[in-house]
Amino acid sequence: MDNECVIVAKGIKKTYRSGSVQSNVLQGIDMEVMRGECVFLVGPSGSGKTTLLSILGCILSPDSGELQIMDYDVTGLNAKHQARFRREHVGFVFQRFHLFDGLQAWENVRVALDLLGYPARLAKAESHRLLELVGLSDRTEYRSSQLSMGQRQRVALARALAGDPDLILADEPTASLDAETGLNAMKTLNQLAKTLGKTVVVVTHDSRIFGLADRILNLVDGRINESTVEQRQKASNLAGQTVSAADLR
Amino acid sequence: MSLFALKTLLNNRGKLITALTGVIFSLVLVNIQGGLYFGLIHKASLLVDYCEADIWVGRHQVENVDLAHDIPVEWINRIRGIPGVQDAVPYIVGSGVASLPNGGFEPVWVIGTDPASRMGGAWNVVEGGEKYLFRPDSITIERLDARKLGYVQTNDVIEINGRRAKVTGFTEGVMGFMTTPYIFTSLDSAHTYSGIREGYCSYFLVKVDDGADIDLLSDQIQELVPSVNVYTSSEFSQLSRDYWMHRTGIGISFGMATVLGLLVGLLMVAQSLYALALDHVADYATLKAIGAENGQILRVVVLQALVIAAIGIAIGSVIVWVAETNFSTPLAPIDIPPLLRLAGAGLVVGICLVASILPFQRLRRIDPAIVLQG
Repeated sequence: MDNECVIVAKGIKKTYRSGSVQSNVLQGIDMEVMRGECVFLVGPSGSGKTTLLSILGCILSPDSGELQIMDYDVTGLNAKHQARFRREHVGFVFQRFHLFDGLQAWENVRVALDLLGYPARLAKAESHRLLELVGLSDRTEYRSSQLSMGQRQRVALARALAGDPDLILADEPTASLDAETGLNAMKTLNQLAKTLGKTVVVVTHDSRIFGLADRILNLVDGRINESTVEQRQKASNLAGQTVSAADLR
Repeated sequence: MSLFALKTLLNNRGKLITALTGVIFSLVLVNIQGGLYFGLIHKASLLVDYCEADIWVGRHQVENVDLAHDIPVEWINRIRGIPGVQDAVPYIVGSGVASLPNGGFEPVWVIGTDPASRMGGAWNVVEGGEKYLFRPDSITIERLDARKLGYVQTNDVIEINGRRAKVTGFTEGVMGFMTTPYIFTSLDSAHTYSGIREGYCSYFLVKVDDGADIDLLSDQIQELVPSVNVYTSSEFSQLSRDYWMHRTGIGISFGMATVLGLLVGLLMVAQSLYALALDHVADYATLKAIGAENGQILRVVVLQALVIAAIGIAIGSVIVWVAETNFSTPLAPIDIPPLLRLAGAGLVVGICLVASILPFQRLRRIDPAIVLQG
């Protein structure tokens, strides 16, 4: 891990309004994430994890504060530039995978490359390479409905890696998977991120995978409490997790 | 993105078929309605279009080839003397009444031409022929009009304006706009059948030398014979068609039916594309989340619309060809000019593109954040 900051957030605030009801979801988030780091965002429901992930992924804009990703000030980007930034610098892994049903595995990956303007032949070759990278070289022609949940997650991961993004954001990546499959999927994500030098931010409730994080940021009432490695390990053990750091790496 | 657009479309066969139905319906309606219109309106200028004449000379204020007024034949000499005029012959278009064997009567249009001239004779002659026109009282009629004239056959004799007329030839597909039978005969016989006095005719048909300036010759004829109107063939053809179009309003009738067909097609395509978009809101949100801009989403919808248009045009064109081949008759000819085919295809592409606006308006408002909300 080098010392380059990939994410620098200062005083990020976000408020949702519904009629006269106002909800201060994020109340001043300060955080830094270094290149190659794997950071987990944890916290109770409604604590603002997904909102923060959406802001880090340039899907939402903060009401105030500053956000720098890869030295780009993305705080005030308009929708068009946000989309371009996501396309070029961010890979997403969604809780429900959000694969395109009618498309084969490789085609799902290719769509992300199409958005980046890859020529058709190159896009096809790259899609197959990425699926091989996540261990799905024998399932490239399968439609998502023909794949197991774990395999779908791997396709989603391959799609997130399309275009070689610097930052991968994963929203509850194990929520739709059983314990073993979830752990394996996270191991794959973690290993690939380390191998390829990607920065990963994961929103999760799943304490069994906490051991995979370099750092855990605990969101409570829209503010961050950072856990130390020891605290994280303790949390894992308390949750009955038997995965050691060595196992995970 | 073309892969996503095509697969999304082709995997939703129900909506694809609905959209295609709309496109095909529109294309077939535009072509058939337009073809019937052109076929019908073309009948208004049939005598002009199938005549070999380059210039038509008729009485002042003539508006329609079928509704002629008499002009003195002697005026033709002034025209024949103009350099560049190869030939000029008198031509008769007059009305008569045929007495039928069953005691009934049938109005007819008597077309009288100089049998020695190449201009103004019957065409599409399938039985008999021009040589019979040299015989006194011989006539050539349209085969489909034989029924109106008492199921006459070759060598049958009928009476027109009380004068004997022997059927010596038949044409096929020669029916005028007013559906009154055309009776092709010699100039001499035409005088007796139509009641037009000797020394008068309806038009002068003028053939010009190869390479002669038709417009210039028309002006010269007009100058020499002031009491006539002089038209080139194409001008007179258009004048005859315009006459019926403005008098009857058939253009509006056919036009309205065509517009309604286009509107129905537009609604069906728009509804299908919109429903298709609604079915895939999550997919489009995902596309946006991973970086698709609205311009790229628009390209997806437009490509789908164009694919629908292309498939619809291909299938629709086959249906139009089958209809044209099997259902076009001299009574209701379907005459589809190449420009109409192109315009039909263009309109279909147009309605598909317009139809894509509706789903795009919905898709451009999709918030990509919904894919991160569980």
